[in-house]
Amino acid sequence: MNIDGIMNSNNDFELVEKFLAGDELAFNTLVKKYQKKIYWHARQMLGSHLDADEVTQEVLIVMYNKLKTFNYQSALYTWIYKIVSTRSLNQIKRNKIKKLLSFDSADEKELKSNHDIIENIDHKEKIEKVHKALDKLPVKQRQIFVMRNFDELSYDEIAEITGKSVGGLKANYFHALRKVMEYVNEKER
Amino acid sequence: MKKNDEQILKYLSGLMNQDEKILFEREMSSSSELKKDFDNIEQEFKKLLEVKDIAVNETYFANLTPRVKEKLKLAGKKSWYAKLYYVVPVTAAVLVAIMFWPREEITFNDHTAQLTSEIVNNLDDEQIADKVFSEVYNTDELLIDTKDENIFSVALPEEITITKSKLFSEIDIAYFDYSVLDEISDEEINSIYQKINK
Repeated sequence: MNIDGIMNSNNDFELVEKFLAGDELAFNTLVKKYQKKIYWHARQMLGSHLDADEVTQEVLIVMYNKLKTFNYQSALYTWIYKIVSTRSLNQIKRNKIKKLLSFDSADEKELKSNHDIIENIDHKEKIEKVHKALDKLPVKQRQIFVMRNFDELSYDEIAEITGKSVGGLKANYFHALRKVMEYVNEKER
Repeated sequence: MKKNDEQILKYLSGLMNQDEKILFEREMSSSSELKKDFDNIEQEFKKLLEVKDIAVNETYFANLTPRVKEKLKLAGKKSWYAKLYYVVPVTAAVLVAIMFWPREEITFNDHTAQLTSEIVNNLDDEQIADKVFSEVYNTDELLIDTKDENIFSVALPEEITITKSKLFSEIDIAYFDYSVLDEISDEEINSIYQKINK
């Protein structure tokens, strides 16, 4: 961790301590700092705003209730990423079950595509393209791809969050890159 | 996939060791084809990753904290109520289990039968007297409703009448006799026996 990282962590620790001492504003500051990272990780993993919104709210609620269990041994963002990545994986499982049991009706699909915080059409198309590419990846490869490229985390940080070895992560990332490349090339043909 | 792609992706994913990395970079600086393929792939990824900075409706993030706080408030109100969802069915299940749990019940008849069998099979007269006084005599249920009149009127001839009080006094005497026997020595018993024989 560099100097900025250490100072950032110390600042986070102070905010956590203030919140645990009863300062609600400290929690609001933490939310403001991390809400976009949480949302975008969930969004890239899940592909829809409604699912990402559900996961983001869940994560913030968990943060509020469980910050007292944070042990200051790792950076706060690593702790938050552990929660958001687990919750996103759980949501993917829930969606798969829904799809399997056909609970995800056509109306719900339409609702998911209409509800969005991205208003610009070009941007919407771009993000759709990314989601289609990510959708081709197995969940674990998608997770690493998102963490490396969108969350800009190092292999060591991803290893700490996911509990996987760096070697395994590199191999998974290689396969993810290859599949994304194949998808992009296919689209261009 | 082009023939260089595999190597390029290996390089980008960090799968190459230090020697392979140096070799690849050297090759790229000398091969225009490899350099071109590398740039293409990098370009493709850059295009794909442009979404990192897209504009969104910021109202969503501005409202996120109040929405979460509202949910937390509701969850706090519901928490005691939610606990009932578990407590009530678990308590009901435990009560039902207690009610229907198979129990070993010894009825009065079973108890009497057991006692009788024990008396018949294992006890001598003295022990029978002991049993009568320790277990049967003190069992109110046995004779509680019996009036003080001929209690064996069905089984005995008419002229013989045994009342409850008479029966108990006989039992008392019998028990006393056995108790006395405990207190006198064999020699005394022998001398009494000799006297009776004369």
